Amino acid sequence: MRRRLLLLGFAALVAAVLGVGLAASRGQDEPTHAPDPGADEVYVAGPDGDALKCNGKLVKVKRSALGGRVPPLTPAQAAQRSVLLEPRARVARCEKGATGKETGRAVFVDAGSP
Amino acid sequence: MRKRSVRAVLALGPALASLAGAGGAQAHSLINAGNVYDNGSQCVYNWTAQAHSYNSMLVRSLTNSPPFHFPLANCTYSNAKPSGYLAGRWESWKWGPNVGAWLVCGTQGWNYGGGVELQVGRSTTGCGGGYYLLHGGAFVYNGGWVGGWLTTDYEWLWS
Repeated sequence: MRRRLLLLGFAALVAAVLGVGLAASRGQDEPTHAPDPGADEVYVAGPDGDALKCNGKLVKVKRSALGGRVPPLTPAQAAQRSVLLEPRARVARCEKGATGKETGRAVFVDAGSP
Repeated sequence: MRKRSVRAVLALGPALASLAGAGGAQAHSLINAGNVYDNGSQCVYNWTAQAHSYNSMLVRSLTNSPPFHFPLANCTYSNAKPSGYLAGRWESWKWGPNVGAWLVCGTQGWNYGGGVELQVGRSTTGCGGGYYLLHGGAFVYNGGWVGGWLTTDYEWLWS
């Protein structure tokens, strides 16, 4: 009986510790505001999931680089360019110059590219 | 010895259930849907959803005008369009606590289609644990592109 109570107590302690830890890990980074859909420039996530830094500096990209707010092609142009197929997801990465050094700008590449 | 093991498992049940519950909380979808354009003869319906590990949005071309002698009804009836007249795109956003702003985690380029409905969907681009939301744009060509964007609520995702 005593051992069972001890085990139950231990289980309750483990659940409490894990629960508090989980809540703390989620709560501290909670968003403070909604994204601004009208912003001209936005931060982008890098390969580590944090805000992308190129040459050690945080970079922003133009909203137009994401594809724009309105489809850029007319239906006829879309049909001509054969872009009716589903395109790949794209992510932001630091642009590299001819020497392989970062230029300080961000570019969008297909997801999965290095 | 065996009895003791069984008791230990039973005693640890609440802890394991608590963990399972924490994981299960994110196994649902965040959806924002509605008409983003309505001029009576042409309506554009946008359905944007962030479902755990999948980002998707749907464009539907609707109209008030009924087929046959059905009654007039606001943005209810299908309004099929030729190929290339429907377009959709989504952007996945992640909260960046280190900059105190939303970051674009990834996007899928404009997808074009025809008919009554176009679906655009892909697995999340994976920017690590954090709060995510989805932004979806739905447009129909009607002499020019008409439509609009919807944003889901945010939720914590592990990937």
